[in-house]
Amino acid sequence: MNTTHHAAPLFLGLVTLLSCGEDRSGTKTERPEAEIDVGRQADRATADPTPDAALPVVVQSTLSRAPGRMTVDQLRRSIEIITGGLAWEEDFGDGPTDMLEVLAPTIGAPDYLLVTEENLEPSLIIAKFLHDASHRLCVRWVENESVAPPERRTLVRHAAAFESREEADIKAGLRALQLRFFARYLPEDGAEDGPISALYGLFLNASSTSTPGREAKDGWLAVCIAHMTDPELLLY
Amino acid sequence: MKRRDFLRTAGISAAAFGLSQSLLGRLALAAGEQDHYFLVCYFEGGWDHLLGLDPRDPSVFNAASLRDTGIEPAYERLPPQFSRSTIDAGPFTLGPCIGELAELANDFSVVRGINMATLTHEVGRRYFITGKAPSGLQARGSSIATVCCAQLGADRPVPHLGHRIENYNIDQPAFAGAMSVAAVDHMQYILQEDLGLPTDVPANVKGALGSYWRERPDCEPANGAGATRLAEIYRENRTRARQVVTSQLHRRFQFNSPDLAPVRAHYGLDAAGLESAYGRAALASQALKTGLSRVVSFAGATELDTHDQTWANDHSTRLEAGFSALARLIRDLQMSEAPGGGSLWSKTTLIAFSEFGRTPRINDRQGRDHHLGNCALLAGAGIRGGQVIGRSNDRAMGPELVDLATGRPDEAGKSLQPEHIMTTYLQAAGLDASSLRSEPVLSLLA
Repeated sequence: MNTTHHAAPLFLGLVTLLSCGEDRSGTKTERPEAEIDVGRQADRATADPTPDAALPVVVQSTLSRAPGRMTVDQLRRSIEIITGGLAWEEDFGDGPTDMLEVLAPTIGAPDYLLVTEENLEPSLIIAKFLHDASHRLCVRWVENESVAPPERRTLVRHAAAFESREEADIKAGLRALQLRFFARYLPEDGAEDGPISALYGLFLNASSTSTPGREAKDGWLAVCIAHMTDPELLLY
Repeated sequence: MKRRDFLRTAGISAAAFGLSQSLLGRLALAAGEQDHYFLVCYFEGGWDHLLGLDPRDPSVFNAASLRDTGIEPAYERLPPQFSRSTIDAGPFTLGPCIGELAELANDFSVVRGINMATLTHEVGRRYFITGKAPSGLQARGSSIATVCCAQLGADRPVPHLGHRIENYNIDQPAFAGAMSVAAVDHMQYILQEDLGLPTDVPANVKGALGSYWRERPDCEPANGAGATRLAEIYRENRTRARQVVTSQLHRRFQFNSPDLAPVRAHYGLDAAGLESAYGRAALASQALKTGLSRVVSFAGATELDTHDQTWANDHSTRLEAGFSALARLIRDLQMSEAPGGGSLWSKTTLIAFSEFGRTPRINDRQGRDHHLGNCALLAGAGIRGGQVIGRSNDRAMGPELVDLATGRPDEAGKSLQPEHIMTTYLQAAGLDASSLRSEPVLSLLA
């Protein structure tokens, strides 16, 4: 496992501070602010945003400021880090095109000609494009994972075999994804198991209706799309 | 435009296109008390009001009188397809580049002699777009289109569509902010799942996700970003986005398809091209007709900032295209039925403006520079058409004071400014204009 986990950029640090890994009693378990080195720029393709599970956790109960939406550029870089280097790219015959860059003006990024300030609303259009991006990216991510050795996986990290459908393996993987996408630490003691149970149900639903041989792929594909379209990714 | 190009750059019946009946049904039901539509048309760059809405007779304003008047129509410099004189449009006279709009003079009113108090593009543009004088270059309020949309509600998939015009949402609900589309042809891809690309997500996965999203909120948060109003808005928009892609609305924006041949013919898109004034007008029309949007703000003409010899050929043709496209849009809406009955035009209020006018004298580079005086055009529901409000004087076209009740020049009146026009625009539809802290031009209200 890659242990250079202090390299997340500023916005992931903010995500960590404000993420909603909270139990129903209103307490919140999170990594301490001091653990995040926001100034360090690491190789994004290899940076691992997942903190060491052995790090201490702190309790934080309230937001200290109004939430905000990531800019298109922040979103693109976040996706790159989360997926271990993937970007939403399409190739129409003349090489890969970065779709978020192309669509940025439509989403509301400034062109500094007609628009000088970015529209940071969680609009229908960014929700729609994030939906599209999740489809394209997650298919590629799952396909890559299905043939990658366990130590190089970023989506299915906690199961020795990608095809495993053991409940413990799946739930461990889901906890790792919560940490990876939202910097939300969910301990295994079950106290904050709501999101994990729901996601596990999603995994089972997708995999049980799958064509033979695609069960694990479809399960993780559904889980990936659910994470990538979650407001916790876009907002911080 | 092909998808590759799309990547590079950034009364047609519903039944015929298989548009989701449930969507249309909801729209018809929603067509209640506030069944109103808005068009905001921006002529980008500063229009020459002598060529359009505020002309002068060249037999009077000629070389001999130039020293006294400072007004130089210069119609003889225009390309041969344009008149060398003003055009009698019935209720008033218009300039040689007014195009097909001259035939609809009874359907709109012209406001002349607007005092912009600026010669800076950004300031003038933002002044008109928001109805509030900017702070420096900074817009000081939400776009009037956004204000309209906020008051009408979010009963459309894309309540406010914007194309090639700045839009601001400073104090209005998020749904009212414009969804800006960078090119007319982008719309069809935007409305399709995965931009119309083949998807490798199996149906069972989509089905499982549908159940997942229906059955629970994303992370059951009681705190954090996922528990905020912003996240609620995102979830609502995510649901609406899914409704949009399943509604087949995109087919109504595939302007090159055989189904849309009547639209292409009406707007002359085969000759003019999609990314033109005519294409933008067609986009605005389709957005209203399909029920995609209630408010559309868009650029009518573009690249009007002609300080040099390009003025004679380029400004004139671009301005004429913008006005003619607007005329075709009005006619299209007049022929189209609104979801709740009646024509769409009978429920649509339109304003067209530019950031300022252009100097009445030709400069040393054979073009025209920025001028403090301006004009606007208002039309449609709630507007009394066939009128001229205000006046520019015959000495360098300076704005004259106006009696806001009668719309006539009055030395004891007020200086007409964008806030008066935008207040009128809002009140024409019965909307609250109090945020502008101004008065309407009462004689414009039907």
